[in-house]
Amino acid sequence: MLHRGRCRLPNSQAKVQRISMRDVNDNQSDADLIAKIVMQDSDAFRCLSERYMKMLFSAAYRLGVDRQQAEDIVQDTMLKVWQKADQWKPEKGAAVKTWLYRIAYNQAVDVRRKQKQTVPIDDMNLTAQDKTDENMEDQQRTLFVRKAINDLPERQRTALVLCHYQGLSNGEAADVMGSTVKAIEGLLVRARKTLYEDLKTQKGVL
Amino acid sequence: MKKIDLKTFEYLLSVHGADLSRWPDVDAREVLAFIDDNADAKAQFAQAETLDAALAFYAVPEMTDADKMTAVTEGAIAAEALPVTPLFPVWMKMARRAGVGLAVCVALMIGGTAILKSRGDLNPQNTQALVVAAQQTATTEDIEAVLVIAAADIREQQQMQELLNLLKTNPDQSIDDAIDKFLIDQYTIDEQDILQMFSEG
Repeated sequence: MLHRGRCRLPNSQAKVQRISMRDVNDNQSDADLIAKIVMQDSDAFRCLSERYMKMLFSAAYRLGVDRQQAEDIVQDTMLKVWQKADQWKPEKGAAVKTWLYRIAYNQAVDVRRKQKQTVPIDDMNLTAQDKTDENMEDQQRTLFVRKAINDLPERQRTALVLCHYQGLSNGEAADVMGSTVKAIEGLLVRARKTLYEDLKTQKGVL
Repeated sequence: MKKIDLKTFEYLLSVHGADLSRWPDVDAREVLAFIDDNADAKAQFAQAETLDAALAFYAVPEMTDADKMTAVTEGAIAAEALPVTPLFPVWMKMARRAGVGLAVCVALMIGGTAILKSRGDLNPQNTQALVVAAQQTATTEDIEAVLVIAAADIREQQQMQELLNLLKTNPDQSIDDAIDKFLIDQYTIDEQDILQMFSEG
């Protein structure tokens, strides 16, 4: 499938060549792209970035940071990939995807830790830039749900975001969080239970 | 495929929610049939569906254009890889080498001086030998710096001798004042060393 950004065809031949390079990279596995990034291949890097940026952004945002911070986390994550691509070892069993999530997760934890010292989570609200195209009622619901998720203990929140929202398997989430599948299941059970109890008290959410 | 009973059902529901596509290793049709036949399971499933519907409200705002973000990241990478202007790194490299060399020389001279002092053998010849030894470990960029130190070392001894002579000829002058005056021009001598020298003198 052609990427949206690629539809804007540039005129110069060099750019056309770059696009065809991207098409070649598009068909490559994550592991192949990482191998190319180790060799400082910027086209491979661009391809991997396009493949995962949105996914990492939504994960970072739902881990409880604001939009700007989520974008910073994504950029820092991709920068780390460029700098430390040689540290990803396929034989260790971690997929590139879970490696990226782990980097982003660690950064989000750092950001939240710093944020906690300055802004209490209870005071977190949707900033203008965080707002989506929802009507007032839906925005209110979003706010309640976001606050309820933000109020979860960090590991419960992370397990929920990775498994429920990002669609990772429990095994993948365990890899990201450096935990076991059984522990992830326990975190998910507790997270869902807490959320249900919390959201039940909010009028019109459940 | 897992055989569905109430215990298994409750556990999978509490972990994965009401979206059966997330449930591992089960036949969705079998689960739906189980729900139809079991009132408890039906109530719990409805509750989980309500929670999932609420969680779906947590929308994520639009990210800045992915191309733009990639460009920003690439800019950061380019800035990191960008060679610094030629004059600056050469100067920096030389300064670093000279700094390291200087530190080695100073350490060698201080260490050597301390040993020689402890043996009571400190004299201009030993100091010269020390300087030569220090020079041998130094890189060419450091030679000049070492020579400066050597000059300071010899000058220091000469000045110390002058100071001693001054004090001998002017016994009323305060030793503290003399040391303060002496220290203004010196940067390698320790006050204790001077006092020790006076006491020996």
